[in-house]
Formats: sequence, C-alpha cells, structure tokens
Amino acid sequence: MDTQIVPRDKSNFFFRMNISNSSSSSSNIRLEDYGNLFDEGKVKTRLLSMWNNMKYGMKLKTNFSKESPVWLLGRCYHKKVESPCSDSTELGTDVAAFQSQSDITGNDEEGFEGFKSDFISRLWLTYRREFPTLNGSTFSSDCGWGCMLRSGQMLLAQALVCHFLGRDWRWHPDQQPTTKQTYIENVNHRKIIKWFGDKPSRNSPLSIHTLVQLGEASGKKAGDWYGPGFVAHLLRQAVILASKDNYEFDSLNVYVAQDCAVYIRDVLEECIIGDNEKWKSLVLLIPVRLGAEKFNPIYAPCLTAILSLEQCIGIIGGRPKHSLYFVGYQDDKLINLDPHYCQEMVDVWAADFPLASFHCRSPRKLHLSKMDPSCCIGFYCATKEEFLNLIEIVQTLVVPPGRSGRNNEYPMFVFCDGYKRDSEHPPIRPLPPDVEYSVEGQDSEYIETEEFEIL
Amino acid sequence: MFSKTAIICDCNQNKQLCKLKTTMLEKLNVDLRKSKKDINSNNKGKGKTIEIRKEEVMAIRNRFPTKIPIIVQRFSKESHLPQLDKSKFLVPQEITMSQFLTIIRNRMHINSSQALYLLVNNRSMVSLSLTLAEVYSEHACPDGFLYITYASQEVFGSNNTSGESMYGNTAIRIRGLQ
Repeated sequence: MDTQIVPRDKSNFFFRMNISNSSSSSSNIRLEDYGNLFDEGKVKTRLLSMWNNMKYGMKLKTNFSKESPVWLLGRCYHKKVESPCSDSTELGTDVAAFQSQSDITGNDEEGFEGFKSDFISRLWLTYRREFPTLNGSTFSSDCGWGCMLRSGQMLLAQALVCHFLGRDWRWHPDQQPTTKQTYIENVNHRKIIKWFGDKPSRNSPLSIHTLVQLGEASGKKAGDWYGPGFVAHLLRQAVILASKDNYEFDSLNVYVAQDCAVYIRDVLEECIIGDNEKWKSLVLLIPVRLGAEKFNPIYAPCLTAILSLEQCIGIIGGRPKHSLYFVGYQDDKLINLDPHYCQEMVDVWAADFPLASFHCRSPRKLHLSKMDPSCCIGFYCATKEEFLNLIEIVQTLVVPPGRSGRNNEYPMFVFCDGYKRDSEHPPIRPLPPDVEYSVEGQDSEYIETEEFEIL
Repeated sequence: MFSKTAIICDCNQNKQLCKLKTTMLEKLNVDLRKSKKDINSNNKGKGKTIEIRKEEVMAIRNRFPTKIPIIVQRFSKESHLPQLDKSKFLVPQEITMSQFLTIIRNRMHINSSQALYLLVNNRSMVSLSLTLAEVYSEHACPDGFLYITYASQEVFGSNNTSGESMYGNTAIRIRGLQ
C-alpha cells in the first residue's frame, strides 16, 4: 500500500491512504477489536527500518496496513510512535511527512485509548419502544421507521455537547463526579439527554414526539420514513420551539442551507443579536445529494476532509434505507453510530437515570462506496470567528479533486456573500402569442414550438 | 426548411456562438456504436433513435443558435417531486445553473424548504456562477442534448430491524399495535 502525500491545500488535516485490497463489507468492530486498528509493536520496527532506508538514500514505500489513523469529528488518533533522531531535517518528503504526523506523541490519549474514550462519549440515540403513544397514532415505538429522526437527534446532540460541555469533554462511565467541574458536567450531560427524552413534554423539546408533530405540517406522520434534509428542517424548528420554554436554547441558532447554498449575511443576521453584537452559536446543516442512483466516489475525499474538521459535528445519511450517523473515518471506511437497535425507553426525568443506553461501545464501519447519496452535513461554530474561519477552510475541501486536463468539478455546497432574498429571480412572464420572435431574442420570451419550451 | 447538415452561425458577431457550434459539431460527429449508459438512471430520447435526436437538435439549433437544448427528467426512483409538464427546454446560454434551478422550482410550485437537486452525470450541479453553456460544453451528450436529472432526497427506514442482533440483544418490534 502506498501512502500519498496530498497537496498542501488539503493535507494539513489528513493523510489519504490507497488501499489495494480493502475489504468492502461493513464490519462491526467490538471493543476487543480495537487492537486491529492499532497494531502494537510493528510500527516502531517499521519506522526504524524506514529511517535507515532513507538515511542510506533508498526510496521507500511506507506501509501503513493497520496503522492508519482514525479520525473522529476533527480529532486524529493513531498509534503512538517514537520520533527518530533529530537530524532528520535533510531527508526526503516521506519520512518528514510521516514524522510531522508522529509529532503528536505523548500519552496514549492520542491513540487507542483516546479514540475509545472519544467514541464512547458521543451520545447514541436509538430506536426505543414502550414510550407514550405518538399523538394521533398507535405507535409506542419508532422501530423500523424512525431511524433518520434518531440520526438527526444524534447530530443535534453532538452540537449540544460541543456547546455545553465542549469537544474535549469525555464521559467516564465508571467514575462518579467528585469535583465541582465534573459535577456540573454530569448535570449538563444528563440535561442534554433529557431534552431528547421520548415523551411529549416541553422539557423534552427535541423528542421524537416533537419532531413527528412538527413534521405533520409538511404532510408526514408517525410511521413514515424521513429524509436527512427534511429532518434538518425539523431540528431547526424544534430548537426554535425549545427556546420558548428552555432558556438554554437562547444562545443557539440552527441554519439549514437551501439548494446547497449558505447565505453568509443571512447567517450573520440570525446569529448576531442585540446592539452588543452577541453571537448565537451556530449549528449549520447542509443537505446535499452526492449522486443520482449511487454515491459518486468523486465526493469521497470531500467527505473525509470535512470529517477531519474541528467544527464538524457529523453527517446524517446512511446506506440505502438504513440511516446512520457518520462521525469519522479510517482509510475508505466511515465510522458511524447506528440507531438500529431497539431499546426500552428510559425514564430520563427520574433522578440518576441510567446513562449506559445512551452511549455506544462498538464503532461500526461502512465502506464509502456503500453510502446513499442523500445526506446532510453538520457544523457547529461557537463563535463568529469560527464561522468565518470555517468558510475560508471549507471552500477548497468541498470541490472534488479534478481529473487531469479537466476543469474543476462542481462543489458539494457553496457559501454566498449575500442574502437569499436577493438571489431569487421572478418567474418568467409569458408574452402574448402574437409577438414575433427574433434571433437576438430576449431571455423572457416564452413561445411554444415543436415541443420545446423556450426560456 | 432547414438543411440537415448545415448549422448557421453568426461568427462575425459573436465568438461564443462559434465555440458552441464547434462543440455541437464535435458531439454530433461522434460515432456512437455502443449506447451510453445513463448514470442518472434515465431514459434517453424516449424511444427515438440517436439519429432522430441529432436531427432534432440540428434543426432547433438552426432556428435558435443562441439557445441550448436541454432535456430535464425526473430521477427514475423519485416519488416526492412532481413530473414537469415539459421536459425539453431551450435555454439562453448565459443563464446560470442557479437561475435555471429557480425556474424549475417555480414550475413545480414546491415549498422553498423542499429539497431539489439538479444532477448531470451523477454530479450535483452546485455553483452560483456556472452558466449552462459551460455545463453543456462539459457534459452534453453525443446526441446534442444536455440531460439534466432532478431529484429530492431519499427517505430512510426498514421493515426489518436485522441490524440489532449485532448488539447482542433481541429486539421487539412494535408497529401499529392495539
């Protein structure tokens, strides 16, 4: 396997690996399998032999088989390596590039254990059963149909975790809170989960009950299947509604892009409030369609690049008919949380309710080629600077790498400096039929001829 | 009456016209022995042979040299968005993709939050300033038409929950009980 060093404008965030014979099945990796991701012992010998090869001028091919880094929402985890001798600066690109990756050494928080801890800390929202019947239906469970709603809940939950707890917060299942800070974190952790509780209540404003009810205005009902963009709009409405009864949501704003365009001035207008220019933290949701029948693989590097960004809160999508919440990747496989596990409802309004069923210990993987083209990308920007920074970084990442000799491919989405209302064009006015058509024709003509509609 | 082989072009007046004409002729001269697979999963030409379609394009291009012939079709598996009453369009070459999207939106009378994506060759046509002439030169079919597919998003759900056994517990599926 070759390691490719990606051109500078994209490679600051990640390595791209070409695997010659990757297994394509989606696999369930259990906790015990973590060792396969990070192969102990081999790396050091390999690195030293690499070092020796370079020192004596031989061209080397690095072999990263199981040592490929794992990315989880902007954080990179890889096997700890010891850096070689310090006089390596005169050597070629391969070792130097590898070395810059391995500069992130130190304790194992950057490797095996770090990834475990990060993944377990993500909120996992699955199918539930035995919850109060959904209004106007006979459903007391969302098994079989609510998976996209659950994926959307997970995406929003991650935004809330970033907002109230921070991206660095970790859940330690076996530890009781002992300090003031951990006590407060525990309270917030539970509060966030409570907001998603399966009950029609103002104190659970993000419940499946609320989402289904909001969907009814657009003709959906309990038992229907939902798409990622539709759920994005539901999440936006749910947060607006939540703010009415829960002051904690006053500092949060959800913006959903339409037709893959983010209008910067609209976002700024929504997020900057008051004369003192206070910023409402932004949850940016961008529904996209990356292909017609099948996921177009030209977009694969864009998705992995996005999952490598600090502001990314994940992607909701899945494989056909099976919704998943994508949070990271290794090589060409997407790491995800799967809502397809029906658990009994938990009474989250009881004190000290059990947290275990809201966290997942088994990361799942899906090969990129199996992804359904319909998905929605999410970002969280705590400050205005983070938003402006995101705009700058993302623009190059969302354009698929063009083939040689070809023009650039089209981006997955765009940022527009302006307001959405200024971009809308009035419909073309039909002209009376006796107007003569001329070759220098105007855009607004509208004459039927030979089955063609002329615009 | 239109000549089947000549394409009239006002080269002296408009260089861009000439470029279009060249592109058109290149496309039409391509010898299609094997049929092109439509990766947008659509029917090409609705049963018409490629020769007939080429003639149609040449005829319409003679009459309207500044317009681009487009066929807009709904994705074969699309069930949310309506069918358009017309599928063949002649569009001014300087119209941008986003303007065209607005036109299609307006013809469909759909909610502004309803997703609508225009796909060409399995790619999402996102770019504010991209003109249809540019898309045409890049992606037009050998028959001379530019094929655009429109779709919303897929919905997700399953009638079986077979994924659950991986987590080790049996699941009870309740649907429409009582």
